[in-house]
Amino acid sequence: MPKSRKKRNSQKDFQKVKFKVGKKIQKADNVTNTSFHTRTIQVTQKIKTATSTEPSTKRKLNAGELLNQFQHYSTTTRQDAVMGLRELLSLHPEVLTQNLVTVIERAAQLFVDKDPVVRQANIKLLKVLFKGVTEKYISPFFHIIGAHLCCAMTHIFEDIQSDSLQILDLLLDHFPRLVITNSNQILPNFIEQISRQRLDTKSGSSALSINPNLKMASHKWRAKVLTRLHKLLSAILENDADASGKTSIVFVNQGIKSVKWKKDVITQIQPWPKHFISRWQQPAFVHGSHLNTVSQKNQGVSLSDEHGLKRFVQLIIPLLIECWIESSSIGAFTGKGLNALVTADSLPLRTSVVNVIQLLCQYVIKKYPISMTNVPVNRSMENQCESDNHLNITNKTQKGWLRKYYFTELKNHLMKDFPYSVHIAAKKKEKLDNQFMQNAVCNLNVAVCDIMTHFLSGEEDFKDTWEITVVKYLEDVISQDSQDSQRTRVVVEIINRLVRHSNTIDVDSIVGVMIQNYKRSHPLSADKKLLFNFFAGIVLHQEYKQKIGADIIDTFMNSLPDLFIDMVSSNQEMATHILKVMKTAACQNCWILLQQLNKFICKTAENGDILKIDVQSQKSLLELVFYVPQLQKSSLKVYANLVRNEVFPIQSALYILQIVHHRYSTLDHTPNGDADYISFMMSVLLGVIDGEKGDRYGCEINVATANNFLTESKQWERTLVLSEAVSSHLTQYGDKEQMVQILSGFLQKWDSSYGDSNLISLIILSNQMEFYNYPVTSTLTESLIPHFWAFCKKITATSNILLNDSMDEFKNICTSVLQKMVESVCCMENGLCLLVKVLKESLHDNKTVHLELKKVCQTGTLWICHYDSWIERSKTHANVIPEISTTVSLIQKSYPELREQQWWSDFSFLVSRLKI
Amino acid sequence: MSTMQEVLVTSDAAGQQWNSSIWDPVAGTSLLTFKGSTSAPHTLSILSNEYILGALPTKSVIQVWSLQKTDNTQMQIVCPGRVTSLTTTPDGNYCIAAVSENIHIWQVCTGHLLTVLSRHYQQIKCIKCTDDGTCFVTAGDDNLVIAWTLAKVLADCGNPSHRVEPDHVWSHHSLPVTDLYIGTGGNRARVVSSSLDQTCKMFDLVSGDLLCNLVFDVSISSVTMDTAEYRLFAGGSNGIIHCIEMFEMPVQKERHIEKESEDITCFEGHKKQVTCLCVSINGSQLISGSDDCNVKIWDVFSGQCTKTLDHKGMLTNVFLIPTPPVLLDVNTARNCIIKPFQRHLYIPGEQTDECDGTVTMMFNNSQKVLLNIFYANVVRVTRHCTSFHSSNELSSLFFVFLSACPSILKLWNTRN
Repeated sequence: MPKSRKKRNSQKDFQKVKFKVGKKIQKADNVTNTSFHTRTIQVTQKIKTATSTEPSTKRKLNAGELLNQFQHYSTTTRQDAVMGLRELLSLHPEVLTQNLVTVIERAAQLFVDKDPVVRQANIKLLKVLFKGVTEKYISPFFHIIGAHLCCAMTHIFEDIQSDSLQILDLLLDHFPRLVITNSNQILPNFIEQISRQRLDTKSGSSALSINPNLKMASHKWRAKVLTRLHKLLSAILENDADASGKTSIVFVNQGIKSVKWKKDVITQIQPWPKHFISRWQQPAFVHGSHLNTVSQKNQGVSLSDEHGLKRFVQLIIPLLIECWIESSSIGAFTGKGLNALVTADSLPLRTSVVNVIQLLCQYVIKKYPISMTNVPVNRSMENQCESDNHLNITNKTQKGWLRKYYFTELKNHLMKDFPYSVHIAAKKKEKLDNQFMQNAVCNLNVAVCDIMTHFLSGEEDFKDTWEITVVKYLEDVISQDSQDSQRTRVVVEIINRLVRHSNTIDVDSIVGVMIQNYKRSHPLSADKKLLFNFFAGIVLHQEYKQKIGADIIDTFMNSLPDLFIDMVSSNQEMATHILKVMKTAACQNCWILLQQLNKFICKTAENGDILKIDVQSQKSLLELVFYVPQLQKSSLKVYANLVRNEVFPIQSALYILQIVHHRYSTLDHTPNGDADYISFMMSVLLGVIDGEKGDRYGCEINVATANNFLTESKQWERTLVLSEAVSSHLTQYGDKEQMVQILSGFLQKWDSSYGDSNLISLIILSNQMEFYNYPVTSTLTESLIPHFWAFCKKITATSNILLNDSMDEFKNICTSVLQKMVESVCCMENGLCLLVKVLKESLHDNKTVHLELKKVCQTGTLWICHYDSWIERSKTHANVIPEISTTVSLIQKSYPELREQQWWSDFSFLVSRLKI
Repeated sequence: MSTMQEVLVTSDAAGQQWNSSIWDPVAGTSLLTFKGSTSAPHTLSILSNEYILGALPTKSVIQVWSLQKTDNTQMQIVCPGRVTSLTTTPDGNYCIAAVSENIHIWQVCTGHLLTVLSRHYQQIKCIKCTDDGTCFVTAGDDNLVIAWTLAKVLADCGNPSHRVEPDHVWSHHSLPVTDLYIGTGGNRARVVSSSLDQTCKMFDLVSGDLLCNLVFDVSISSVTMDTAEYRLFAGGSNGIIHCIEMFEMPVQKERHIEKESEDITCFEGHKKQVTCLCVSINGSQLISGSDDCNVKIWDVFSGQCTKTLDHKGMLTNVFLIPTPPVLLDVNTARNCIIKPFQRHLYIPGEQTDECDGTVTMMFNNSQKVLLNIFYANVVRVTRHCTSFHSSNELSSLFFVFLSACPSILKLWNTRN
């Protein structure tokens, strides 16, 4: 059956395939599959070739390419380019400085980009960009940014407008000064954003319907714009505060460089006023040239000149008042009394309205204080000359413009329902939220007070009920214990203004509450500092201090010494400030303080508080000594101890000596004062307390230190400097001859075991006072000479490397003093006898080292050199000279090796000359 | 004697030989002496080159001598209190004196007390006037240095409610201020103050800035500068006069170490504190007066003392003035009138008999005198006008002027 099999097979091949409906046709085996798959390959980065050194993004694009893509028609490309540049700038900030012009130009163009994603990316880019450049670099391009920003702000699309606010935010954060100088460009558009809104609201409830894609309600939008305005104004104010530096109440201590005069060093300085220096760095005409961008016809509003500011105020205040009226209707409360309730919805707008007005008032008054003045009618002037009336009138209109135009309006609207309170909505809210509202409304009220107090008249006939309401409210606020330091600051500022400008309002009770707060608050708290500044400003002012009660001034002044002691270890800066206040008060003859002053200084000196503060503050503390009404002997003792305290810095020690000196030489130049002064100086010099009576007790302290004195370099120098200072002060004081008499009388009585330090002081004193020139002191000089000689010998024997310079100098002083003293008392042989004695000693002492002998001889040489000048005066020297020569020859015999020494041969030669 | 550019005026606290004396600084010889008591520090002043004013240190009296030796009549003016410092404006119209902490301003030709200013808290030690008389600066024991504009102070005088605010109050010093120096340049000058707190401070009169702070190692009791303000000299309480150069040398590229600088940093010679300092107009001579009873004349460039003038007491006033014409020619016509200073505040509206009498007398004496006063006032007013900020101030000043001499005007009208 092969056939059949074959047939079966062939049949199988040619069998008809039956197609059935609903089943897929099987494809033939030989069909070529023509289908193909595609897959997109994104070539996000180039394969760089030549310019690989240039900084580039991950996608290997450099700055130039990215910037080109900024203008690409495709949204994604633009976005990518912006993101790429941002990446590039954060990785390689140096790229920015090379391409700043193009970067800024291109980025500014994207302010008005149609695509929100690109704009958002652009804002992110700007954040990085602004961080990387300083104000100085951006200022030449700022007008470009300004122009594009204006475009964006006035753009027809709402979302572009709202994004422009973000850019403004960024600019305000980074370059507030530039925004202000370009304010005439930016401000008008800015106002337009709400003024148009206002037009919308005027035409009905169309505000929302016009911007269906704007998700927020019109009042929220307005609140948003006003917040920016607030930010702008506060930036301006801050900036101004930096420039003028007059914000602090009493003290302005700028960082003027001090030039220290030094002897033998030429001191050169070229002082220039600040406005000159600022002109060098930033010429005024640079800003001036940009001001002209606004056309002459349409005079812009600007914050930098008075007319522009005036126009700005005229524009903005009516708008703000309207906003305020509108906000009071939000929440659907009508009817009297209910307006006083603030709902959560209307709060942001109200707050921003009030805050803007608040800042505006501050700014205008600061810039043009004249705008607030209540123009007084000067009758005498008007009577005298009528022709001048015209001038006066124009002046008047210029002067009080702010008050004239807006005072009543503001008063009517803001003060109508003044103390605002929280409206608790029907639906229950969380407690925390409620608390927040309470605080916010309180802030609102305080801000209203702030605005209104700017309009204080200071005139009798303007007494108004609102003033009383305000004061009452403030008193309530201040007596509550508030945690909000910002609010307390504002309240204190308001009260400050009340005290300064108002004659009619009785501020006693409110200031009374404040002084209670001041006393109660913790020394380290912020409130304390705030209130301290407040009281310091008031109390030290000639006029204002009359307005508050004397008992308040007393309380404040009495608190100062204790406060200082509290502050001294914890808050140095505050302590310095307190010292300044105390000093100013002392200068102003504030009796209450002066009474406490002595006790205060002694206390700080005794308990060591004075050592805790820096030298500058120490000086200002010591300056108070000058103002102590009556210096007591006991306090002088304290000062003397302080000066002798080794821990006490030497500059301060010298300073207090000088202060006491001036104090006594000008104010207390009386016999009693003189005695106090001299005893003070001598106790500093010799450590003798109560010098007149010759009581010693300082010496005991010195016994321990005296021995190792010569090795302690610091102590040595301190004693030297102090003795120099004391002696020079003593020579300055009164008549020198009298001083010498007094001192010699005192020193003769004071015969004691002379310590080293005392001897140093005495030698310097004798050098400066020139004791030896006065016949009165011959006995003293005679008694001093042996001590000096011994000491002189001692210091020649000591060699301390540390002291070399000062020691040499001192040696010279020593010998010259000695020589002069000896000259004056004609006891030359005494000196020679001493020399003989010393030489003999060294002869007997077999262990004498050559070095020691050398020193003795050197001193001896000095003596003999001066021999010629003494010889006329001395009478009996015959027996001394042979003695010397014999001793010398004896020494030479016992130490033959000495002959080889140069100094010995010199010495022996001199001795041999003596005979002749 | 005719070649003298400047003469030196000194006074000491002893007053044994004379109260004050005029010297030829070149020859060191005394030209003129004025006898009678002593003058307090910072009170000796020359009034329009014709009179010399000095206040007694213990009594409330100002002494006036004429520089013309021919009539050596000495005038004594009784003041409301002891005068602690005194100066006159360069035009000789006003006398500004401090009686403890109050400043009194008199119009010299009428003797009217125009205003009393109280802003200091303690005794005023020094008053100085700018070279054009527009401003004056006061300094005292309360550490304050205060600058005033004369025109502002005098505007609205006689109105007791009007409060005069000073231009600047500098409270930078921390101990009493001892001396002041005002440079050239009118109200744009620089002010230097010295204090016991061991510093000198320089202020800018126009802006009120503190320009620099010079720190020394002793208290400074006097300060001065040369006319060109190249150098500042500060006399210390230890008798050393410190010198500070107010210029900076260009940076030298090569430095020669062996070359010693020959510039002077201090002048040593006085034994006690230096209380008075002045520099000659050519800036080459420094003249110092000290508590050690010596006046020393120094050469600024070499630092050498060229001359010493011995006095009998501590020096209270030492200053140089351009040689008054009266000294050279005794017959120079006098054109300054001085009237006893009144003790009560002058009120412009009231025309007292006394006032009328004064003017009539002046008129009778010589027509020229009246003309001079009138002219001087007009000149002064116009000069001040340039320094005003607003027209308002200017107008008020005209009021002052008109009200200050109503009687003159009246006479003037009747005359014409």
